[in-house]
Amino acid sequence: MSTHSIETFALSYSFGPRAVLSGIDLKVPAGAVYGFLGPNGAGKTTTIRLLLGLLRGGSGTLRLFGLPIEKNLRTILGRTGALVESPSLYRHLTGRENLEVRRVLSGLPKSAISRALELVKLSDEGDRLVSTYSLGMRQRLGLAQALLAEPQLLILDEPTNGLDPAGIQEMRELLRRLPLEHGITVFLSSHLLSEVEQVATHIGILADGRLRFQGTASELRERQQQVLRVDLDRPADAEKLLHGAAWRVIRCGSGHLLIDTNRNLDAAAVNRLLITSGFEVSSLRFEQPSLEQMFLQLTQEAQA
Amino acid sequence: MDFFRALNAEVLKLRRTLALAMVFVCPLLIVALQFMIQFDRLGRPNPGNPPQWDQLIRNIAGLWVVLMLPLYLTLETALLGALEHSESQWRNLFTLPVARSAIYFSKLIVATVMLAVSHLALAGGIYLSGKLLALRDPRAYTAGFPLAMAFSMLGTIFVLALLIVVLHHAISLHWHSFTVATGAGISATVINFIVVNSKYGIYYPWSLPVQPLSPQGVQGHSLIYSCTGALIVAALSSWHFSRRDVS
Repeated sequence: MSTHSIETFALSYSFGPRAVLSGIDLKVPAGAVYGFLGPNGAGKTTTIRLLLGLLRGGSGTLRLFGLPIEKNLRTILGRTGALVESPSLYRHLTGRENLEVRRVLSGLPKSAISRALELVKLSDEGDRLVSTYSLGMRQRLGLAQALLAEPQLLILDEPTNGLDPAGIQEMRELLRRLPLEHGITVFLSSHLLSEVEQVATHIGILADGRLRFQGTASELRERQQQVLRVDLDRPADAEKLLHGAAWRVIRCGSGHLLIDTNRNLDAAAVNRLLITSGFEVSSLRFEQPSLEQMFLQLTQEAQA
Repeated sequence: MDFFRALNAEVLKLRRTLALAMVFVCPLLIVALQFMIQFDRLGRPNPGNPPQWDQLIRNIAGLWVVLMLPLYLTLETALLGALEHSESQWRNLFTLPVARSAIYFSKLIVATVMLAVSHLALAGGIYLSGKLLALRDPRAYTAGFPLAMAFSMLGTIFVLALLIVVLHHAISLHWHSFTVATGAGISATVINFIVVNSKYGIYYPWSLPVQPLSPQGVQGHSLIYSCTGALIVAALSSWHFSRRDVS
């Protein structure tokens, strides 16, 4: 049995002449919550569609549960639950009836419906028409559909879209519980790191069709150098000055700059340049960048 | 196995749909229209010869094939297709461990069975309207209901309409737009008014169901043409459906 729920080797895909994915090597360990991050248009949904056999014609190798997808799609789909973008629901049916359609198609026992509704806390609302559901309830019903067959792998594309803060919190708790209580591997795509970092054990960062980072959250932190934070007046002018002197400013905030350097000599040089140029520098210190800053840095590098 | 599961799911999806209501509304509208015409005629001072069953069957079937049937099939298949196009249901369906061909053919069978049920509703409506008209004029519809003639006529129309069902089914599943599906059906119906009496009428799918009512009757191999055409179009369309990407 494979130790990875998802593995891709040199996965590439193009829409006509436009390359959407270029040589992606994904490794999603079994039992992990894998946060698949990237800005909008990075290729996350295309990757998910390829994983689920919704798109064909990509190059490279794609294995789920150690099985090549081309010859084993049906077996793979039988062990996988998915929620791609918005939930696909029949609005003229009740929540329970929507699950019944899926249950019948998948050949599952009737008890699966109550179990799935309970899991997403929709047991009391199951007999209401979906047209009367709030966005958050629809999202939860979509998740119930994905969980109906007790999958070994759950693929979720932007699952918190449209959820209010309480709904996001509930979704997070559910995603944390699934691997622990049910042994499910969760593959979760998002463009918001803040959403993923609280639940993900592993992170993959996709930008411009390439996988820029893959590993655990702590590996991501270790990989990044410290940044120099300078508190000063007129940060925008200072940024221009530093840029002209070939320093890389990661972020220009209100009253501070984050500069890509970790050596004391560099800090001294930066300080000297700023002082001699007439800036009021009130403090300099090294900071470990947050995951959010690293994510921005990695994706901005790709765009540059 | 896949097919029966998919068929069961298709039946579940029909609950509370306009498509299901149309199965009865469309044929009964035509029956009601013809009933009102006959009711008015029988109430006149000199209504002429008492009307007979075969006349009523031909009148209702005539209105059905020329006016309602092509539009009904257009609407029915477009509504069935829209069930899946709305909210991108294809993404949901195609990530289930079910053969796509099973999904395709279960939908086609549902559309075909709906057409068959509509013809049964039409037959029931003809019988009921005849009996009600006989209350207005006791001379009308005195003979027994010609069951064999009615079912032969409506059964032939049903078989000749199979090619249209498959064509509309393919159109409604391929194009996301409800407008394209209904536009194609309305255009085909309008063209039918021109083609039906020409020498090309026997090849034009939307003209085929009119044949049992024409003076020449069902021509040549029209029944075989309709069935074979339906099978070929269904096979090609299913093949395309099974291979398409989902956006």
